[in-house]
Amino acid sequence: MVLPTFAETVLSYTSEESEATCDEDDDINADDKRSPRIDFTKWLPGELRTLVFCWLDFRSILICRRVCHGWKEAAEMSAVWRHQFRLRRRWAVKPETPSDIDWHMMFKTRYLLDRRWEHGECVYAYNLDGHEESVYCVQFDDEKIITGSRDRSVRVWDTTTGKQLIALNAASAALADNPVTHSGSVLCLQYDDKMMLTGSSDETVIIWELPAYRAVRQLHDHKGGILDLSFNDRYIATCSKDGMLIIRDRREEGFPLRHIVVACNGSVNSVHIRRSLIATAGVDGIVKVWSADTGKLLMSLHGHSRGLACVTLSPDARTIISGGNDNTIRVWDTKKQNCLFEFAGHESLVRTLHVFGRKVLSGSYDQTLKVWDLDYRKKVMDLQKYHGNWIFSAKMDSKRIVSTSFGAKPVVLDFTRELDQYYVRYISM
Amino acid sequence: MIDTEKDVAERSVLIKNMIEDVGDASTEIPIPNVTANVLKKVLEWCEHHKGDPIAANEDDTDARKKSTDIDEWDQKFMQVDQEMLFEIILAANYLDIKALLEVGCKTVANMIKGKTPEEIRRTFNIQNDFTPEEEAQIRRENEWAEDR
Repeated sequence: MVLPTFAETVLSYTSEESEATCDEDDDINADDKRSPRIDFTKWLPGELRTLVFCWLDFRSILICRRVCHGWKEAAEMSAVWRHQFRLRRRWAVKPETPSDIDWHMMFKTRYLLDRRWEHGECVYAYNLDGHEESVYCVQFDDEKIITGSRDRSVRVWDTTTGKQLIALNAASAALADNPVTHSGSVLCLQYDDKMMLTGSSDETVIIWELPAYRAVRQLHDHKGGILDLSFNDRYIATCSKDGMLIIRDRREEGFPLRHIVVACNGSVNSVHIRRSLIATAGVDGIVKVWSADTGKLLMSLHGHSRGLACVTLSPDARTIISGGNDNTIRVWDTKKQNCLFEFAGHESLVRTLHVFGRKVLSGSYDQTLKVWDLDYRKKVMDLQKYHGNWIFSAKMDSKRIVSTSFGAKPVVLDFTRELDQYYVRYISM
Repeated sequence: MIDTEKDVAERSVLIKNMIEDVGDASTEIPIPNVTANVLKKVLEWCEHHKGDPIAANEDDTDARKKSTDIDEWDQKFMQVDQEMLFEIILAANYLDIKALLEVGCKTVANMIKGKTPEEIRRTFNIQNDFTPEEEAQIRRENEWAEDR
């Protein structure tokens, strides 16, 4: 390690300069008067200089850019900004992010995206145009949006352009080697990298292979319309108008039946699985939690005064959120088995709920979408102008909200417009 | 030559490894890159902190920590002139004493925080080498972070 000696560093300053700055010393606090004063960015080797900057907040680092050319360069070191990015608990980048990416720009882009959510600003809204009737269900990622409709079709859209890529309906089935399609409204859907499930009022569930969108199996388990479904890497759960909750094993060939239980005396409107917990919500107004392993009822959560329309579990399965006909959203603790608090604000039935991170997106028959924060326990966004009718389904991630309503055109709210798309693309969920 | 106890010197991962290689704590360990007065100061710190638990995994702890709070004894210890402060940082790095390196870097960071560019220049005796045009440009580039 070859470093400049102390003498070399101080000798690089002329005596004239140090005299000139003497008069200005009065307003500097005593600590800094310790003489001689040295530019540590020239004194310490690069990695230690970076280490010092890592203890600054990002606004101080931006101030450092304005000190001189040498400090500007030091304050723009990628390692400094990568550290700043990683300090943010909920920020992440995709695995394919280049290692030499400009972390200063990455931080800036991610920060501006957060600001847009905080202020509900710079929202670019557009429609998905193609369905012929109401759209009941939606899921999306950075590449595609998938919707299911009363027009009996499932459609796949390009997330960035909004163009329709694929329609799965009677016409497409006629051309397929396995001519399976829904003969009723598509009420619910979910997909991951390998598989998509769609449930319909035709009382069947179709299992599709992705990314080919090939129908591989049709399940005839229920004696009523499939109102909702949910799966993870272990189980598939479906619920129906017939009051049943049916659990199949995803890991085994042919997805064998594991448990068939009566979940409600009437329609089971919503089901959600996380880990080995399954939450159901039905017309009886009771949130029920089941073990996916045993099929046994683990808890019944009472509190809602009317029938329920939707239920969802947080990613850690510690929290359940439910909504329904009493216009309220209740947040429950699965360990303590009690209601923690409620979100009030919707003026009609709460039809759909989706958890993203610590935020909850709700959609209601009052035609509004609202975003709530589980930690602050309050509403953080109220989107009133995007739907003119009952909202049926809505999902969110860090970049977008996609929602569907009584009407053929789902709405995409894009929070990334006019941000540098090169960096936006590497922002992970 | 400076005499010290084994458990004081072993706050330094470099010295600890050297002692392990030599196998005898009574041996002279050469520390070529650190001057005697800096080394004395470093050992004073090691003496005070000899009982402290040594952080197991720096990635888990360091990357998440944000606070630049420094305990009282360390703050007093770091009230030295800038030359000594930067020498301590260099020595802590060379001798691989993570906790001391951290305190040193935090101390410098605290000398920067809350200051204007001009105050930083005066603190570290830096000449402003930007043209007015460059200054305006950088201010514009920083605008994204401003509170509205």
